[in-house]
Amino acid sequence: MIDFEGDSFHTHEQAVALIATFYKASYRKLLGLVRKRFRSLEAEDMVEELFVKILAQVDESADDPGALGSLMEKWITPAYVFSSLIYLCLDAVGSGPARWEDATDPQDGAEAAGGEDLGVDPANIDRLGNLLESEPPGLYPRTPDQVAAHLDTLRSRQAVNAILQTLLERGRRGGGHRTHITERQLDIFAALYKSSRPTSEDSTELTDDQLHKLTLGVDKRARARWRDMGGYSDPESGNQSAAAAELGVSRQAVSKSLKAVAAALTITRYIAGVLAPPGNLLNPSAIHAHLDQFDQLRQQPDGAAHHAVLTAAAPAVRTTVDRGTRVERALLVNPEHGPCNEQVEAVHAAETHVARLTGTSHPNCVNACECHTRQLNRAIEI
Amino acid sequence: MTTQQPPRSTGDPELLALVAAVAADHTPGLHPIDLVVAARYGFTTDQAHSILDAPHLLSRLTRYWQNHSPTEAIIQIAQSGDATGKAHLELLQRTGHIIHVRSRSQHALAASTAGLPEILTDDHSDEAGTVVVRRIFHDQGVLDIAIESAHIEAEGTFPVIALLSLGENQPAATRLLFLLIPAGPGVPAASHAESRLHIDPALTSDKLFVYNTPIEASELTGTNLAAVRNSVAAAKLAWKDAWRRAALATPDGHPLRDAVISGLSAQA
Repeated sequence: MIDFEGDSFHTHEQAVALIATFYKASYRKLLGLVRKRFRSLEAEDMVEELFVKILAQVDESADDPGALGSLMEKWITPAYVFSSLIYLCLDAVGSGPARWEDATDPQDGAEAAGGEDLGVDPANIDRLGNLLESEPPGLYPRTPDQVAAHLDTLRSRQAVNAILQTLLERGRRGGGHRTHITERQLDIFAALYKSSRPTSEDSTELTDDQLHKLTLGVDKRARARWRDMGGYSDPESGNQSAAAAELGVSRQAVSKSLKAVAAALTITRYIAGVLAPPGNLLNPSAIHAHLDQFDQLRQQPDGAAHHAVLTAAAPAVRTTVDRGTRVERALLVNPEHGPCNEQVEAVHAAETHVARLTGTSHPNCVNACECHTRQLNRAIEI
Repeated sequence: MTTQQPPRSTGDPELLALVAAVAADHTPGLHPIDLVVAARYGFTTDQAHSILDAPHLLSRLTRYWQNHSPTEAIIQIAQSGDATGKAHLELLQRTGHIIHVRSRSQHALAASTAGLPEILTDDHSDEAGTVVVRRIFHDQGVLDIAIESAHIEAEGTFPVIALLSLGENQPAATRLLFLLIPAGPGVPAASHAESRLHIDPALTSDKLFVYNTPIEASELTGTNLAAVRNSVAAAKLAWKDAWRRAALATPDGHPLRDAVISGLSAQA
């Protein structure tokens, strides 16, 4: 069992978020498992039902950090989740214990669905509605280091999800000068990575064939989203032909989208992660608040210069073992901006300014100064 | 994590690849699991409006809330009165968990007619199984409210439904709770409750909602618990007794006990 005491992520909110992140990453496999092995059941309902049961457990332990840590460890372990889903399905179809090994071997089901590490003895599982309460031995094949690494991976994924949710929401609210991305930009970006991941920063180097495939990919994503929205069409968005025309992907559109998404992600990681309290990137509302402060800099007399400095410095953020995640001074060298030291001090001044605005006492500043630094090697989630 | 590389205009490749992987399936924030989490603990304003705009997502939420009633957290947010609260209120309304009580009866009688009440009937029996009748005795200065639900089982349990009032630019507040008991012979499927209280403009206005998802009396908290005293005081005799039994079913020291005792000794 892993000791989660001292870890900042054993609050109820974080336990829910991390388990949800794992569950989302495993969602298709979980659906596949039910569809393949329990054809009479509605896969989405069963997967949802298990998740609701998990949340109920987490709620019951909301005030107990130790119990939350144990629950979190349990419910991000693939073997445990897959086996629990199988026995929940067995309960639903009403099969008795004698039939377990004949009709529905849990190990087979998990393998078929991608849960190859399902090493669970069915005899150890209480399947009479209390399946989720049980804690059978032998379900934690991972070492503590592996569990910690698994948690880090989930936090990275959770942070990316929170960033994307925030940036898309800001785009839907009108975008403009606010740091944001649009769904179309994300469609192009995701399709680009799926079809032919760019090896060059110049996306206009795509061949006509690659471009054609990309157009099909973007179109497919847009149609899927349209279906997800129940065929809803915003009257402000114009008619279908206009929408179709908009989906045409040119080289310029690809390049522009890629740069827009990358720029928004880079500045968000810097402002809402590097210059924010630990865990800030895991919370969409907190990300909104920090980006709002950053975006408003441009309207302030002394803020526009800081805004420009921070925007220029954001791509120089790196994570190292010794200095955590912060702007790498060596990467700030730019002949157009004079001596390096002055530029570093300008970055530090801008960081201090924005940290004051957001109420952040310990940002990961470029200088790692004593005033700001409580933990020199603090790495953010991404 | 990033490695030591010169910055590129397209950003950190590992970060971008992770973003592409996360974005591959559902729109962030609108994944079915995101919706379950939000349906339990609260939506962002944008999430709520996205759902309200998308029949597919609204249908998914309706189905979820049919199987798992909206939590106290959702109700509290809906009563907050800010933009997020209003969005939650609309979600509850569009999924049938809140009924807007506002229609005027076709048979409303003149307020000046001595002894005869003005009757306001809100019949939502088709879609929500709930009927709300307000009888206003203007000459006596009292108001009778009766609520009947065909969907709520009240045998062996103490389900409560709440009446919320909403002022202009004010948060919704729980004004009155109705503890349902099974109706008598002849209407076996219905549970109902009746209360009588002094006329209050808030309770005869059009800014009135019924939160018709039952809450167990012993699980009332926050503003709902605070409304127990007045609700017990206003309840008619049979329902006063039901409140008493609900309180007696809780362990010693349970907050419902004090609230009910206070209500039993108070005047409506």
